[in-house]
Amino acid sequence: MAEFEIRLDRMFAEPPTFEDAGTFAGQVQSKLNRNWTTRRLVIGALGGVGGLIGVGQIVSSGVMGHVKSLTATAPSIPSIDFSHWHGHLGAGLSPATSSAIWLGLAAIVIAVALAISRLIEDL
Amino acid sequence: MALKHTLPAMHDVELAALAAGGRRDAFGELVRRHGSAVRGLLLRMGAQPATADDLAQDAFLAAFEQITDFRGEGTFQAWVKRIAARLYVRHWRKAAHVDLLAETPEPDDAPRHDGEEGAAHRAALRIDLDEALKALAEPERLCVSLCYGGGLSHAEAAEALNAPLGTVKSHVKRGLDKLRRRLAPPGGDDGVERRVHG
Repeated sequence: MAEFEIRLDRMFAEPPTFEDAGTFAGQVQSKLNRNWTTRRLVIGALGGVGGLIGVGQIVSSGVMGHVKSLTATAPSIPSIDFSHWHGHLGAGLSPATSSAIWLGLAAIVIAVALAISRLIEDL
Repeated sequence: MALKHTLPAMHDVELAALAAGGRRDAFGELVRRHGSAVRGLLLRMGAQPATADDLAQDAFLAAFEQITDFRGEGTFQAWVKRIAARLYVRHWRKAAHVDLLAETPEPDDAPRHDGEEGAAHRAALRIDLDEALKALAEPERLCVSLCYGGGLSHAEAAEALNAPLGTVKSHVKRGLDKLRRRLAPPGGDDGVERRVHG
């Protein structure tokens, strides 16, 4: 390589001084954080929606009825009498309200799962 | 978060590895270290200050997205500079007023003061690289900056610019000749007659 080209390489390698170098780094960092937060929120929201749809599908498929009939025909597991709990939860409530409660519980479980995953990630 | 206090003491490769694991503060340290170099390159390529800052930010954000591609084979700064250089080329091609494929006329760049006035004039022309680059035609400046500042080979520059390899080589050669004259040490060999090889 010609001597001049080596010199030119060296000159290009010397960065100019910017007085606002700290501000620039801060701007990049905040953009990075903003993108990261947006991505996390979108993923979380999509996960939540997916979870709710899944729970909705389970509820609408009549699985509760199956569980109820199973517990009724399984006296060998008296401690897990689901029908008993279901009966308590659903007592005095319309079927729609009961479904809403189950959906709410599912949403709480999803939220807790997301919080735990975030905690693990931060650690 | 005791690790945060040790970030400034870490090597670029270590910081990049942390950033690859999602540590944005580690990447922030890389930005602090190399931000000026990337901005400087973009300015030297011909970007306006605001555009240079925007593109430098985009380059770092892109680098964070692709951080797992950085394997420490070259320097981190060179790697980000290449990303920034390519971003600028894309930007330049969108807004270019100059057709790189066309042969540019030889600019009126020859020293006008020869003889006894020559040495004094060359002393007055003892300007830094940034000023010297401004004297080049736009394609020359871009090609020289891409190859010497951005670290791209002639072939890579040609590909990025979507221009024939011979055209890029020609722009680089002409640009180097002009820079050699502009950056010649005062009173010394100005190298006007020398030619670049390779």
